[in-house]
Amino acid sequence: MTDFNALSRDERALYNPGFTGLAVVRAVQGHQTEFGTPCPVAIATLAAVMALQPMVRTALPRSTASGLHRWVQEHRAVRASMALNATAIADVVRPGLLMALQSSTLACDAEGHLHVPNKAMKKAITGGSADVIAVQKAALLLGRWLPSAGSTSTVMTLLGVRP
Amino acid sequence: MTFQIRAISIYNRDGEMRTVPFQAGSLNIITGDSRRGKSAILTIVDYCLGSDDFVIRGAALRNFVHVFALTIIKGDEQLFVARPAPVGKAATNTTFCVVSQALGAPPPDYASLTFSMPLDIAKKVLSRFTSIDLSVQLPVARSPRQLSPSVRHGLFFCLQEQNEVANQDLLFHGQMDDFHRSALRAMLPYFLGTVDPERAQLEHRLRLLRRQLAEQQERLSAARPFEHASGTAAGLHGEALEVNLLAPAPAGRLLSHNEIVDRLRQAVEAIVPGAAPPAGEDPLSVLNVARRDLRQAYSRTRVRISNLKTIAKEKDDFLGQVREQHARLATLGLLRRAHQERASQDELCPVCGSRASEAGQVARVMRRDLERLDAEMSAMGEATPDINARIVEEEAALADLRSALARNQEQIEVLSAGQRAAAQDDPQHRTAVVQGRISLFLDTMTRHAQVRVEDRREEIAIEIASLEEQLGNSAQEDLLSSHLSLVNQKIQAKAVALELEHHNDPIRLDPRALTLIADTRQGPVKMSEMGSGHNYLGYHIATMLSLHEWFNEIGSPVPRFLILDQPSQAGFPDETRGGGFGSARATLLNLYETIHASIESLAGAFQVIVLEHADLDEEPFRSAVRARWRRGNGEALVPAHWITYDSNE
Repeated sequence: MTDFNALSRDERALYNPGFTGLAVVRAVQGHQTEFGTPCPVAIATLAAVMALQPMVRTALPRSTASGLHRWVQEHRAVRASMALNATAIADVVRPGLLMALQSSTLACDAEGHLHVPNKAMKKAITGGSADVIAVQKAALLLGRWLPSAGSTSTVMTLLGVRP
Repeated sequence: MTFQIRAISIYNRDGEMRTVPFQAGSLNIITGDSRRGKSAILTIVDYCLGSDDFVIRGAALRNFVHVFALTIIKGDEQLFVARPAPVGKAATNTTFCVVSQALGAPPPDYASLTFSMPLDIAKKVLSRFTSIDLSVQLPVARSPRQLSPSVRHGLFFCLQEQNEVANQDLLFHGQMDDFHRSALRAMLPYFLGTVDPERAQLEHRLRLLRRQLAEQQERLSAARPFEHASGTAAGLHGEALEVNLLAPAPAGRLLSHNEIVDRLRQAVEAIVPGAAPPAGEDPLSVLNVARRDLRQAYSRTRVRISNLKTIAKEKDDFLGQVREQHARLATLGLLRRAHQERASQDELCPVCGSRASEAGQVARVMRRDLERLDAEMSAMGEATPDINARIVEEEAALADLRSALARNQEQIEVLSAGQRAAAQDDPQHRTAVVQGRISLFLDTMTRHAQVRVEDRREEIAIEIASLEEQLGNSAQEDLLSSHLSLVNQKIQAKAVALELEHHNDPIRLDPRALTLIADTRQGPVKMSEMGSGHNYLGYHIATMLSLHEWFNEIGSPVPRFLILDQPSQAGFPDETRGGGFGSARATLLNLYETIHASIESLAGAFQVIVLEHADLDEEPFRSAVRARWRRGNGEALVPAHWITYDSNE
């Protein structure tokens, strides 16, 4: 985990923990609305990492109806992008997760699953720029969609990343 | 003050005449069986008032009537209008005979009719007799042309044919025709009295002013080159110096155009050329140097402009980036809301319980970054207009340089031409050539009328603006809707009297759709959606009567008569005379009472002619019947003895 102050000014601004944390929260929200159960940390982190990559964002389907396997097969660029960037982005997502937990926008239960406490975060997605909104929407979609392919490990393997 | 119908006459080939008289200012009913020429009354009126085609139908009329005529009266004037039937294969006849008569005079004999007035003149005469202001020009929607109102447009409101009087889809005469529809839309405001006759003059003035403005623009742009000394003049000046026609000008400043022209005039008058050519530099080389400088300045300016544009674009890109960062940092606000309450646990990591003190610090760093970005964004944003202003300035400078270059080119061309011409001549000859060219230039220049073109664009523009203000359609629209609402009230009152459907709802005449609309709680209902022939008929009559009452109130130039062809057709069999059909009779009688009341209220200023199958025995019907054309009594419009089928023509 890199020290936050060691990053450049632009990186600090673009991947600030507030923003990455927000992506995690949206993913957890998505998971909750779809499955009604708390979300595994790995899925939440993975969803946020994916949502933060423009390459992945543009490739995402419109609805959760399509199959994840087929989508990964068809969009090889997604796997490539994940292989390149996942580690670095995970480093900035973790502080975000931490901040979300600290500000109790997220809560953690005994099994290490995350959920959004009641009224901690508004459902409506708002943001100061088109990108900010797009990232949140993508995270929400991924939170609903990733677990549909099976267990967490399956999803990770599919995308070629390790926890 | 407009006209009513006094009589209709027809002439046959032998000059026999049949006249059907009408009473002005009252209800006239002609009742009778079918095929006795009742409907022809309406078509004869239409034809004699200048219809474009031969509208008269029916074998008896087409074969045995040669001239159709109409006697119309206005106050104490009487006008006799006759129009012959088409001759031979012609589609229609375009000559009229219009005679002004003393009031009450009978129609002239067939022998004294001379048909010499062409159709368009006849229309104008009739329009003037209707007191229509022919100077008015009305705009037609979605078309560049303008219409002048004429008597033909007035007839929209005066005739209701057999298939129109109870037609649910159209309200006015001739409305099914597209061309007529647009004319009707254009004319309705005029006849409702919402078009100011002065408006036409104002609009004309506006058109003139716009043309003037355009001319001014042209004149000014033509005069602009003379603000600088034109290249030709400067070049000739240089030549005059070359051949000693002029003393060299005081150096150190550019001569203005007028100075140069003055000096050129002197040069033309100078007879004796000076002794030695001035020991000045060759003007051509001077010009070439100037040209090089200009070119350099030009390219420098262009480089400056492109640099500025690049800077502006980079600024935009940078701003976009900064905005993105700013937006992402601002999401902190979403997470920090719960933070205030849990300040005590701020130091502890909620997952592992270890001390994680940097969280607060991270937040601080982020806030600092946010403030910095805010400052950068505002600084960047403020600088942008300055850059744009600079670009505009530089572009103006570029344009100036371009024209300077063009002038320089002209000068060089003139000089080199002069030099080429002079290369093989002696100085005397050369001087004469230069003088000749200068005087030619001066002549053409005076033709350009070196009067200072005064810039009147400002005041013309102001005048145009004020005229447009005056002519603003809003005033006319307001007036139209207020007049229409008064007419609508009248229609409403008649709808109540006639017990029509929707008479409890507000009813309005739509000047665009040219139909009646009742505003019900379920939404607007057009006349065509109401149902029942009785309603259509009632609303037609109500609308026509109301419009005529209104026309009379404002003195609108619409002929003051209304011809209805068989209003009883909608559900009234022609045996009504027998006394049966209780409710139908009552309804029909009610209709006539309404018409009668309307005529009474206008006290002789309005005439209604009804052509009818039914024959009621009650007032006001009985006393209004002017003729009964039945098979039983052998009466008809065309006398029986005219109809001779033995003629081989």
